[in-house]
Amino acid sequence: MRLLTHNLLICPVHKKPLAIRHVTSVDIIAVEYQPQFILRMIPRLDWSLLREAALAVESDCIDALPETPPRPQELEFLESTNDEVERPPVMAALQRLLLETHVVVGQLHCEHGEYYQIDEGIPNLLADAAVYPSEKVSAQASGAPVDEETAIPLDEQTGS
Amino acid sequence: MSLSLREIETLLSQLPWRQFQTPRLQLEQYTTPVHLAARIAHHVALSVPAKERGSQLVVDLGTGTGVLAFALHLAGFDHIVGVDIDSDALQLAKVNAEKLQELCSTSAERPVDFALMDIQTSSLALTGAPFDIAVLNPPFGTRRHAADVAFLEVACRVSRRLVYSLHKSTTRGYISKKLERLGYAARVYAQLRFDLAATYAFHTRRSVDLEVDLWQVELK
Repeated sequence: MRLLTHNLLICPVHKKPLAIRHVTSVDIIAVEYQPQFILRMIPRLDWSLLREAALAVESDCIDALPETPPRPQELEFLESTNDEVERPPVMAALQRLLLETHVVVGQLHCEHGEYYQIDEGIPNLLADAAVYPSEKVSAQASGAPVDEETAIPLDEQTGS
Repeated sequence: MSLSLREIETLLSQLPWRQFQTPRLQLEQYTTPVHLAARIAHHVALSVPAKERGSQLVVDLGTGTGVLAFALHLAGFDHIVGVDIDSDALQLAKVNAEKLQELCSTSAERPVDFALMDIQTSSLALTGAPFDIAVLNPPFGTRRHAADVAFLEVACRVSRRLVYSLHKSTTRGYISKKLERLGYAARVYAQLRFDLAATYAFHTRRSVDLEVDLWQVELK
């Protein structure tokens, strides 16, 4: 899964962006420099999600990514340089991150707690494949005894 | 890379997984026959100027073993996401991707990004309308009523520019009315023949030719 594809995905249950976590395998595969495509994609990107993804895969490219996406007037200048040495740092970083960085094994976490597995580069975003944090699942499923000090009284849970 | 129809067909016919081994009846999985996939890709490519093809983001909804997605790549598209609900099919798609790379040295490595997803509206895992072109070869809705129209609606939502979808020619009036009611400008772009090899036990004849329409929806 390329980071471009990741940027387009949301949680099938809560429709929220998904944070990349627990990455254990990343492939970098160089492809032809495609400034026109990158420029077309910038307005469609969730920029902060991309920055977080760059951190999650521990890419050096994060240093070249500004906190906010480049503005349209800056983009025209960026397109004109095609040569590898001349590539503006932000474009080189986007080329590497969006088109060349593949998460092979990892997880996609929704802010509501469930997460989705990425295996062999394929994210599994089927709602019934969602994994819930283990403590929640085991307590619910087994009805196991809960530590009395941390347990919330039933009336507080229901808000009555 | 932008190959001719014949070249695309020749390459696709060498992929190991052009058919599913154990098709799941409920999902109405018919693999897109190679000749049909090549033709669809060819038609889609012709509607986008050659210079622009490489900068379009394309999604193949219900990609199966990826045959149509690879055809699109061979026709000049470089950024393709293939989604399907069946993990077994996507595993085979990966095998196909490796084979394609072997057969065609000019093909980019991992030309298609695959994701497991249910493309019904309620469980869709895609943000907004991120794609320029959506292509789908939906279930033909013969056993699950109106399934193909539901997928077509999703395709129109996730794409910004164009949607291509395959439907039985006998449903032309119905599809036309549905799209009109949804407010989309659509037309039958090409009529093709779908050679349904006898995939399922209830297909008594060995092979049945089916007339299908390739619909084009232009989005604004």
